[in-house]
Amino acid sequence: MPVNHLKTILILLVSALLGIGFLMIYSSSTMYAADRYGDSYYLLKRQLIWMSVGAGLFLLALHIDYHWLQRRSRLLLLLGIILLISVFIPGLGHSGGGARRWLSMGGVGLQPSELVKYLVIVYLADLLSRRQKTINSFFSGFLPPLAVIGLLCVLTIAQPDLGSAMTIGVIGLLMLYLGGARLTHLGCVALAVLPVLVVLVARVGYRMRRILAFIDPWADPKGTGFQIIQSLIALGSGGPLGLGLGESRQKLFYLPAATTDFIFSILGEELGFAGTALVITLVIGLVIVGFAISRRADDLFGSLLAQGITAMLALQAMVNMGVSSGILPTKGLPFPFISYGGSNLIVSLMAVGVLANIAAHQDSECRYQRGRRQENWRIGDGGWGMDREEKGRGGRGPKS
Amino acid sequence: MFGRAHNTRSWIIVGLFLCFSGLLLFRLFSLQCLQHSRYSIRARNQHQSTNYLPPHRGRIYDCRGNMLAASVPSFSLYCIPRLIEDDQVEEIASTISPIIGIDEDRLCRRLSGSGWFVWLKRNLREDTAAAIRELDLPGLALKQEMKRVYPKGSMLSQVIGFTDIDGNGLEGIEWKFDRQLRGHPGWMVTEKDSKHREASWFRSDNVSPIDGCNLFLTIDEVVQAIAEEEIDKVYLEYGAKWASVLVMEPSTGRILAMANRPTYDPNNYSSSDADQRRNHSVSDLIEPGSTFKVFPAAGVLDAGLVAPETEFYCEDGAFKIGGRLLRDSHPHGVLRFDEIIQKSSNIGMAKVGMLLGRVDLYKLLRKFGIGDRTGIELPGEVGGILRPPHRWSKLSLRSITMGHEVSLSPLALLTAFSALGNGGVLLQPRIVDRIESPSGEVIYRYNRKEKGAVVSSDTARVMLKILRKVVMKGGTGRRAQISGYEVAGKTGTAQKLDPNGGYSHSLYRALFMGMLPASNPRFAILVVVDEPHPYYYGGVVSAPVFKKIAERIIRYMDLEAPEATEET
Repeated sequence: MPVNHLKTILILLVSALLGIGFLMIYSSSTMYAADRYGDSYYLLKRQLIWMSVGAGLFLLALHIDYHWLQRRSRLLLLLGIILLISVFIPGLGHSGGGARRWLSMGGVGLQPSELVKYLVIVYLADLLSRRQKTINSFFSGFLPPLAVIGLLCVLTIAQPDLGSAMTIGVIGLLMLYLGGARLTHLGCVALAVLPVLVVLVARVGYRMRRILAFIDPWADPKGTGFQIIQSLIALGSGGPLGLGLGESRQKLFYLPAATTDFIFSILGEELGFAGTALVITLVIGLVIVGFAISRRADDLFGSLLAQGITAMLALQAMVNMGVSSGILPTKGLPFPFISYGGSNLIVSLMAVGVLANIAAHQDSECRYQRGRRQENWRIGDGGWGMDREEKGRGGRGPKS
Repeated sequence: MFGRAHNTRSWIIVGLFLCFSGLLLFRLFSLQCLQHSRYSIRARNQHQSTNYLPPHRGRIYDCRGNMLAASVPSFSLYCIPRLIEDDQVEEIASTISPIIGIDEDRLCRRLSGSGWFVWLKRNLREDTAAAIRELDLPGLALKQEMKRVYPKGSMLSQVIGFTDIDGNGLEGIEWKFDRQLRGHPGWMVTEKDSKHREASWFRSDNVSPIDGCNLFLTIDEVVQAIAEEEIDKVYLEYGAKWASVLVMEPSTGRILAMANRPTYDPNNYSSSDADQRRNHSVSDLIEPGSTFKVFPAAGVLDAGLVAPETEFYCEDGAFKIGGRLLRDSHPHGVLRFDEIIQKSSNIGMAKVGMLLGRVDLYKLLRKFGIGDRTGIELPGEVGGILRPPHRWSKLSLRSITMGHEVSLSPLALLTAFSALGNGGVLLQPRIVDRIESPSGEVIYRYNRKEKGAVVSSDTARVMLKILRKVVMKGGTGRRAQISGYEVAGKTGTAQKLDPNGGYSHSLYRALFMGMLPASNPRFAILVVVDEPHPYYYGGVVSAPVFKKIAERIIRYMDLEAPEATEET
C-alpha cells in the first residue's frame, strides 16, 4: 500500500473534523458572540483566522523534515519550559477563569501548555529513540525522562492547570511505555502519582465537587451537577438524528462552554447519534491512520513521534467526548479541530503536519533519506524492521 | 524480543482507544436513542414556555360613542431572583428604586430568593418602562399587560365599576358584563434562553387573542356630566351624607344619567372606601316620603273615586286616626284633590288613601313595580319592601300613602314615576343599550320592555297636569319651576328612621322628582339628598337641583318652550 495514501487519508480525516468543527462553532457561537461582543460572527471570524494560521503552519510542518525537530528537541523543550514560566511574569501572563494559563501578545492570547504537550512528545521521542539500550535501567534510562515529565507537570499544576498537567503526565508515561520502559517502573510511578493526584483533587474544592457531581449529577442539579446535566440534556434531546443544524436550544446559554469544552454536546443535539457516531468514527480513523503511519516510519524517532502525536490528539478527543457524555468527570479539554480556540487548533494542525511529514518520508521521493535513516533504525529496533519486512515493504540496510 | 514487546504495546494502546470508543458509542447510543424521549421532555420543560397574549378588554361607551372605559397596553416590571447574584441585589435595588418608587429594602427582599417570577411594579408609564429597558439589568424583565383606564375619571364611576390589576371586573358594569367584556386570551408557544429571553425564531403556535365585546350604555355623557356637576354642588353645599341623581327617558326607560356622591376615581380605586363606591341609586332602600303620594293619588284617580276638583276637609292640620295624631306642616281647611298633592297635605292624602282601601292600594303599588327589583343590568340592585296587606297595622295605610313603611331604591321610584310620563305603562329601566363585537356588529340590543299598564293614559295625563301645580305658586316645589316649560314634579321630605326606633326628628332625606314637558315628557329626573343640613325640605334642597339640571338638559337637547301653556 503506497504510503502517501495514508497522508491523504490523514488530511481528509482532519479536514472532515475541521469542517464539522467549523459548522458547530458557527452554530454554537453566534448567539453567544452576539450577546457578548455584539457581532454574531466574532468567534467564527477569529476561528477562521486561527484556521488559516494553522493551515500555514501545517504546510510548513509538512515540508520541513521532521528530523529537524529531533536535532532541536532539547532546545524546543527548553523553549517550552521558558514559555510555561513566562506565564507567571506580570504583564506577559494573563489570567482566564481563575488560572494564569495565557500569554498575551499584542492582544492575541496563547496558551503555552498546549504547545508544551507536543514539545514533550518530541523530546521524549528523541530521548527514547536514542536510549533504547539503557531504557531498562531505572537510573540512566527511566529516571531522566521521568524527571522532565515531572518538572513540566509541576509547572502546569502551578498555573493551576491540572488538566494540562495530567495530559502531559499521561502522554509522557505513554511515551515511556511505547518507548520500551519496564512495566514495573511504570507501575511504581503510577502508584506514586495516585496519592498525589488524590491530594490535588481533594484539597481544591471545585475539583472535588466536579468529581462528586460526576458520580451523581442529580444530587445538585442547580449547582455543580448543572453543567453535566445540561450536557446530557443536549445529547439526549438530540435523539438518533438530531434537531437539525442550528436548531440547538442548549446553546442558548443553558450549556456553559458550548463552543469549547462542550461543543460535542451541541453537536450531538443538532446532529444526533448519527453525528456523534460519525465523529467517533473519524477519531477512530485518525487513531488507525496515525498508528499505521508510525508502523511505517523510517526510524524509531519518527515512529514514536507519530504515535505520540496520534495518541495526544485521540486522548484529548476521547476525554472531551467522555466528559460530555458523562462517563468521565468534568475536565476542560478541548476537542482538537472541533472546539473553538486558537492555541489548540494551531498546535494540533502543526502536529498533524509533522505526522503527515512522517508519512511523506516513506514516499519514494525520499528514498535516499529513507535508506540513510534505516541504518539508524537497525541500531534501535530490529523488531520494527522485521515487521516491515513481513509486510514486504523495502529491505533492510542501505539501498545504495 | 524487545521489538515484539514494543510492537505489542502499540497494539495495546490502539486497542485501548478502540475500547474507549466502543464505550462512548454505547453510552451515546443509550443517551441519544434509548433515553431520547426522557431527555426531550427535560429539554422541553427547560426551553419551552407558553405565553398568554392578553386580549383587549371591551370598551364601554356612552350612547353617543364617547369612551368611558378602555384597555391600553402597558408594561409591568418583574424580576427573576434566580438570575440575580446575591452581591448584585443591592446595586440593582438602589438603581431602580428611584425610578419605580419602591423603597430599597422592599426591593431587596423581592430581588433575593430563588423564584422565577416576582412582580416588582405593574403598569409602568411608557417612559419609565423605556428607562428600565435602557438599564438592561440582569434578572429584570418587562411583561406586556393590559391596563384598564377610565378617561372620564370619577364620572359614572359607581355604574361602570372597575377591574382589578389582572383585568377581572370587580364592580358595576365591569363586573356584571365581565364575561362579555373580557375576551379570550391568545397564546404563543415559544422557547426561551437560560436568561428567560425569548428565542423568537423557535416560536411555534401563535394564536391571536379574541378581544372582548364593546358595551354601549344608554347614558348620555353630557347629561351625566351635568348631573354630576349639579349633584356635586348640592352634596357639598348641604354636607349631605350622600346624594344621587337619576335622569331617565320616560318613553323608553333609558337611563341618561346616574350620578352618586360621594364618589371615587376608578383609575385609583384602591384608595376609595365602600361608601364612595356604592351606587346609592340602585343599592339603597329609601323611604320615599311625600314623593310617593303620586302613586296612591294616581290609583284613586284611575279608579274614578275622585276628580281633581273633589274636596277634602283637611282637619286644620291635626287629624286623629288609628289612635295617633297626624299633622300637616301647614294647617289646611278644605282642599281640592289637586291641592292636596300640590301642598302635599298628609291628612288629605290619608283620606284619599282610605278611599282606595288596603287591598286595592297594595295591588296598585305592586303594579307600579314597588316591592320588586326593576331588573336593570346593574349589580347590587335591591328590591323594595312593601308588606302584603294582611301584615299591615292600623296605621299602615295612611303611612304608605305618605311614603313611609315602604321602601324602594331611587331607581325604582323614578321608574314608577316615569310610567305616568309614558301613558301609564310601566317600563323596565335600561342602562345598557347594546353589545357590539370588536368589529362593530351588534351582538345584542336591549330593547324597550313594557311591564304592563298601571293606570290609564287619561289618568296619567291628568296626574301630570296636577303635578304641574306642585311647581306653581302655592305648591311645595316652586323652586323647580322653569319658566316657559311644563314641569310636573313632586317634592318629598322623608324623615329617616332613627336607629333607636321610630322616626328621627333631625335626620331627613330631601327628594324631588319631576319630568318635562308634562304634555309629552322627554326626561324625568329624581334628586335624592340624604341628610342635608341645615335645610332639609325636598322643595328647598332638591327642587333647585332639579331645576338646574333640567335647564341645562333643555339647552343641550334644544327643547322648544311650548307656547301659551304657561299658567302661574
